[in-house]
Amino acid sequence: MNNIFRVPCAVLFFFLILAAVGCAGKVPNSLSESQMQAISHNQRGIKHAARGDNLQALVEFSEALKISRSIENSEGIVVALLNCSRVHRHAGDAKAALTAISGAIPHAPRQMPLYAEVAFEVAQVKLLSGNLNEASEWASQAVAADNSSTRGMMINLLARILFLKGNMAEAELKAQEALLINRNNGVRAEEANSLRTLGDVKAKTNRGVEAAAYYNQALEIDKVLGKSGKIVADLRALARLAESLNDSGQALEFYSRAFAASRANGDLSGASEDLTKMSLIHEKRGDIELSQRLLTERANILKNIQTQQ
Amino acid sequence: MIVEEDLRFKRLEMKIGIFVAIAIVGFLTLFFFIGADKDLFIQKYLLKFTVEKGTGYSRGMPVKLSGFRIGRVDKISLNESAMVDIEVQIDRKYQKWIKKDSVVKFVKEGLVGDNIIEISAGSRDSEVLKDGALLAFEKTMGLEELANDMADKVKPVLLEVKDIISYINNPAGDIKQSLNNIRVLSADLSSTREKVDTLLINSTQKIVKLSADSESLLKTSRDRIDSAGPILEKADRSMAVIEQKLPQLLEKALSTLEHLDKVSKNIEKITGGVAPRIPQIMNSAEDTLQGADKVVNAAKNIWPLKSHIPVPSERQIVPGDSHE
Repeated sequence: MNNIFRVPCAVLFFFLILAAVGCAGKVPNSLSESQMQAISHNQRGIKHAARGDNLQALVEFSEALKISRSIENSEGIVVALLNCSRVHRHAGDAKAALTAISGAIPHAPRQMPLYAEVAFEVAQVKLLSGNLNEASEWASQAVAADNSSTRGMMINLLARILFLKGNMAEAELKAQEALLINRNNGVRAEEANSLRTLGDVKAKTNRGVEAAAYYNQALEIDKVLGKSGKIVADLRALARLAESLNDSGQALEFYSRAFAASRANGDLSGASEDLTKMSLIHEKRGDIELSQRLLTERANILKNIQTQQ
Repeated sequence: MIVEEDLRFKRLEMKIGIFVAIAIVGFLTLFFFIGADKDLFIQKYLLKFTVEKGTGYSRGMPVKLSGFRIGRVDKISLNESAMVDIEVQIDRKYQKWIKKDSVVKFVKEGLVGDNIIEISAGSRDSEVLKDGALLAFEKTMGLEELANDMADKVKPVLLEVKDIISYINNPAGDIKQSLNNIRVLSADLSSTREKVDTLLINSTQKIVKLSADSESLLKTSRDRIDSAGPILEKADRSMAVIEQKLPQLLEKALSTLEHLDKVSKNIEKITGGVAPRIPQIMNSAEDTLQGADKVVNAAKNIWPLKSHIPVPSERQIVPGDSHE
């Protein structure tokens, strides 16, 4: 190398070293070691919950809760309790879910960003318990508190509760609002939920063609997302709609598809219900033999469920 | 003066005298008999007793002891207490039997006989009652009282009998029902008997058939046993072969077990050497992992990696869904 470049190169190299050392310096971390541990437990719990291992998920969330309580970390406590409630609710244990989420409410003031999630969870638990009035109140609070990308989900829940309460006009309005927000935010799963609620409202208000259109749109999205449970829900909704329109052929086709999807997804209980519906339709059509055959198949499935238990 | 004398008046005075004498003797005899009958010529003494009512008593009424008349009722009078005092005259020769513990009763002789007063004989040690002494009276039941008493006793029995009869006659009662049932049963008995007869005939036929079947079964079994003979012979031969080969097989198995034993001892030696070091190895592994974790964490904080690694969020929430 030429001597002319040696000095500038050396100076440049020196500055590069200085910059590298400077950048390699420890970034000030706002989270403590304990918080990090709690986060790890929560992350592991979420993975277990996604796999359906609710028991292990609860163990992890309990660990996270213990750590958060030991350092009086309100946000950590709320997150852990929220997760516990959600797992209990998914398992169908409304009482345990309510106990968990009730423990989170005192730690979640309205100004806390997590308040909307807490209110949403309370609304879901109340809905599971069949308390529609309280569910509706909490869902409204969740909608009022949330301005994030999950707002569409909160409005969807409110729309669903309003539909269940029989308030069709308001439910339709809320579902339309949610559909718009979810489309804008690109939340496809909630977009499908909005469409399903709209389909339910239309079906209930005797607008069968519109209902079928909404259900089919929801079905398309759920298929893209690969959500088997939602696909089955869409197919059953379409089957019910066909039944209400006295199109037993269509109803049988949708129930048959729902049955196949449920069975493949491992939902034997749901599959047996589909068989019952199909059996009843065949009985109405006068095909008693086929109806009886379906009932026999249903009995075999129920026997399998009992054996598994 | 001619005195014409009728022969019929001859010795008239004498005849009258004899007649009067006979009349006097007859009168005296009569008096004597009546007096004897009325106990006029026997020595008597007086005894008294008091009763509530004088009904049935009369003067001259006989007083008996052991069924033998010993005296009569002499006097019946009402006293100050409105009770009846009765005095009896008793032949003194019977006095020795009537003592202080003797009891007087008013009884009837037989079912339709006269009323009498009966005195019981006193005990040997008791004192003899003197003239004018008071006898103890024991009240006995009269026929009417006996009849009433009997009626009182028989009445409940009759009522019970009446109840029993009405119970028996009750058409809805057990006995009538049972009788009806028995009647129905006996009516059905003939048909039942016919059925039993049929059943017995069928049973007999079946037993005959069964015995025939059993015979054929026994014959078949015998044939099978006969045919099993060669099979058993084969099995016998096989057993002989097994018996020959078994010692060799056992030897082989034994040597395999010995090998296994050696191998397990070797494994035990190896693990015995390694086992104490396992905790140390585990500690080292943990230290190494911690070191690696620190290195990775440090690397995460080094530019330019740190800009690509997201800062973990505390809000790790199970995803929600409005249509769960």
